Amino acid sequence: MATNFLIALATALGSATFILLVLRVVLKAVVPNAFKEMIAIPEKVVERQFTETVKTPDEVQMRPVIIDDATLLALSGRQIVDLLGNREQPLQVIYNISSFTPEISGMQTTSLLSSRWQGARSFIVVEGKIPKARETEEKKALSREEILSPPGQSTANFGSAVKKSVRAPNETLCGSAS
Amino acid sequence: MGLFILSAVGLPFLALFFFTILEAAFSTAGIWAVLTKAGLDLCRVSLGIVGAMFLDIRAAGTIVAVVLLLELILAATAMLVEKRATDMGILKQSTKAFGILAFGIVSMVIPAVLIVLNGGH
Repeated sequence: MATNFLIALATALGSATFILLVLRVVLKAVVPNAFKEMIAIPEKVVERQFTETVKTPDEVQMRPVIIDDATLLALSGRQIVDLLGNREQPLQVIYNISSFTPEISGMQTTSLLSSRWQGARSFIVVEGKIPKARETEEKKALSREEILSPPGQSTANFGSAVKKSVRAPNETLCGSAS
Repeated sequence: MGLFILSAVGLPFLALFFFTILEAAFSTAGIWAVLTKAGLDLCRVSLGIVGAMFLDIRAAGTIVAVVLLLELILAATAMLVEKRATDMGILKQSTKAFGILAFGIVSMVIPAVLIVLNGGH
């Protein structure tokens, strides 16, 4: 019986080889391009690679530094520069509208803002970056106005490099605004 | 004996061949997907062919059990290749399909030859 089993095994291997060889020759003649097809990478692997790409340290460092206007006023130019991890890191400043327009009440401020920004209430968030031209002048003590207003600006304001946006601040950072 | 072999091995194989041709004709899957599926079907059909060996169980019950387990192992290996081809270093569709087909053919021929050698009782 063992001999029969060995014969069966040998026959199976031989016939498999023969059949596959014939099939390969036939397919090579009929569809030669089909042999170049590669197995697709599973979606899970792609997803894992994408997640790893997103979590690179450089990307994490590009998160904006959030600071309120009162704290920003208290800092010198050098301290603001040191606050940022690198020059490309954006700076988000949360301004309290009442400090600029004290005559506007909280209710009026709320009515000025659309319902979409109800969480913003009396706050304005300004996002900006330190101009690249300043990178060579690291040793010079920069003032707050110099950082926010690049050279060539006729009037001092938030600066041309400042991308202004009015958006709802993160309530966990600002507290519940009213 | 000829009729016995024909009913135990020939009919299942011809039925499988028929359905593979139908699938190749009407399915949108590629040639390698069709061949891969045919290889897995061969493994399944071979388990049915082993059933015919149980008719002669008086002669070698142990051998039949061993062949049955061998068939199951071959079928499981074919499934493993189908699911984890990339992990096993198989990058081409053709290699994967031929590998699975080889497992299917081997698992089908072993019980068929054993039935022939035992006289088809």
